[in-house]
Amino acid sequence: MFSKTRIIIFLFLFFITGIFFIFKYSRAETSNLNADIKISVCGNFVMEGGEECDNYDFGSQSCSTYGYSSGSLSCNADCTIDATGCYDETTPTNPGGGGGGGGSTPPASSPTGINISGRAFPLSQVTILKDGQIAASTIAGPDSLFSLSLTSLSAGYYNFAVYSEDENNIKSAMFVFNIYIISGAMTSVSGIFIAPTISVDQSQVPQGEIITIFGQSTKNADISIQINSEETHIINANSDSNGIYLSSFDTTPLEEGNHTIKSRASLANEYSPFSKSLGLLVGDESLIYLEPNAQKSDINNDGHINLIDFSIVAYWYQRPNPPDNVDLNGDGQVNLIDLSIMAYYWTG
Amino acid sequence: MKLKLFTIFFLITICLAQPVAAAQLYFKSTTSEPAVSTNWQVSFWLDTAGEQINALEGTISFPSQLLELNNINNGSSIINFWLEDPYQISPGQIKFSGIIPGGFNGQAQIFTINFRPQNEAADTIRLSETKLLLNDGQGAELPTTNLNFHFQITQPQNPPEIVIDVSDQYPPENFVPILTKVPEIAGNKYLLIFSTQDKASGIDYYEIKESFWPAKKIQSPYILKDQSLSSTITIRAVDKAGNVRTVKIPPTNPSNFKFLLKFAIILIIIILIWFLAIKLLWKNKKQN
Repeated sequence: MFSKTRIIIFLFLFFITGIFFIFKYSRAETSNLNADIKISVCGNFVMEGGEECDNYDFGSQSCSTYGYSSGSLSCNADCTIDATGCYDETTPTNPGGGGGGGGSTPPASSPTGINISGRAFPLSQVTILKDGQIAASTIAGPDSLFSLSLTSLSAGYYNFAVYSEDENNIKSAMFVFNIYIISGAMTSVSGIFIAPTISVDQSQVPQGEIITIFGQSTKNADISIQINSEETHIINANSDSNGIYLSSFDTTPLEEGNHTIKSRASLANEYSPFSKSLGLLVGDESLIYLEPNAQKSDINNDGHINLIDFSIVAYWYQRPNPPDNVDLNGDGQVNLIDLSIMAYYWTG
Repeated sequence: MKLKLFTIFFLITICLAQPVAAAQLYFKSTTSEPAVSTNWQVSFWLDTAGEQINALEGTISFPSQLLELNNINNGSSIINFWLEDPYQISPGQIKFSGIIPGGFNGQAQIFTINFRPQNEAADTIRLSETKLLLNDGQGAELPTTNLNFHFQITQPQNPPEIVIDVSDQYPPENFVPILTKVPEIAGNKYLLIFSTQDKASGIDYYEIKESFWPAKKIQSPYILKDQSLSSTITIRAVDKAGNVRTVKIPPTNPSNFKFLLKFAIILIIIILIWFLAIKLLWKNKKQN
């Protein structure tokens, strides 16, 4: 009788193993099939197959698709549409109510948001950060003008930052502003003038060499290039119809040592802020200028300096033995300075 | 004579001295004479004095025997990402640090502190270990003046007020958690990175619910328990007024979950059959 029990146990184990492998085999087939058809990536700002939306990409859908006359759609984390921001302007907000005589229809509430407009570079990409994270992007027109709107915000103080990228993918300095958004209203901010980008052909030159300074700004603008040394030297240039400007400077009047170069644009009595500042060393030899290594702040090498990189550096904040790529200034520790460097190169 | 000369020199120096603009950290309140057992709000401010900064840190000290800390509200802060959310590290000590991507130039609120004064007395709220770093790509430190705040707690004129805070009725802002692998933090494991804001009262905490594990409070970055990504992940951001924003991440590999579920069900059925069979065998054995 005992041997019968052994046989039953053996058969049971054999059966379980068989069932496991049958399921595993069928699952492996399913996985292969999934890998072939899985082409959408939720969170990459592009609506793809299988997604109702992706961040601000709703395809051709709007509130009218859902039977409303006004409002704005928002996109859930799982790339499904949230239509709670839609409303019907003719629908009373407090319908019904037995027996009341002819109450008036309350006015429809406006969305809470912001309209942002200004000048960037002709046909350049303009990116808007809301509290440090990309909220929207658009392409400026051939006339350098851009405008876009953000809705579904809640009332409160926000930090907005606007930047553009030139033809060489060099990012401009950020135009940062802090504003209180009022509930139930669209706040408009116009007149934003993105600072020019700036580059030079050499970062070090012997005294008397000529350097070339160039960049991109708004179309047909007056560009003022400022070289700061003991005495400030100013060169004037003009941007062409593509926003490109270029000028040369004879370094004879500059003393040996470190100097900085920056530029700003003006058009029709409007002035941009100054561009990022470049270093120039007047010394013994010539050195070709290389763009600052912002890439070091891009810890995960995804082309963006954003919340992910912040999280990595913040994780190692004040911890012993941080990895070399997280210690941005190479002083052997991760502290506020490393995060300040990251905040400077931030792209959202 | 020497004293006279010194006095004249001192006065001339004072008259000729030019005011030097320095960044300031300071406090604001509607009163510096709060009454016992009332809600006393003190806001903490920054003035960059024309410079652009992108990071700050510091410590606020207050007499905990005189001021009971009710809460700290960072809802409308100029700081976008906190390294250390302002919190009480020990009685009477609030520590904070954070960054402003892209930088900031001007005056802005950093956070507000709600106290409940305890006894009639005078004292000071102090700032220490403060740092403001310039938005210059190198993290250079900006000289900063700390302005402490002197207060005098008084007896209430009227019976103590009962404050019901109904100002925040809105949930935190919608957010998109990032599911990723970061070798510098968790090797080859999946983790979640997330951040949102609540403009009225500030974020209190985040909570996660994964598969069959109970919900628990977490911080970003968070290493997932379900590394197979076979179940829905639910993250709740809760503000300091108790409003909740819930976001869900659907399973990346639902087939894993379905497979395990089916297998578990069949396994349970087989185990039941096996127990019944054993029971029958024992019954037969006893009868024999």
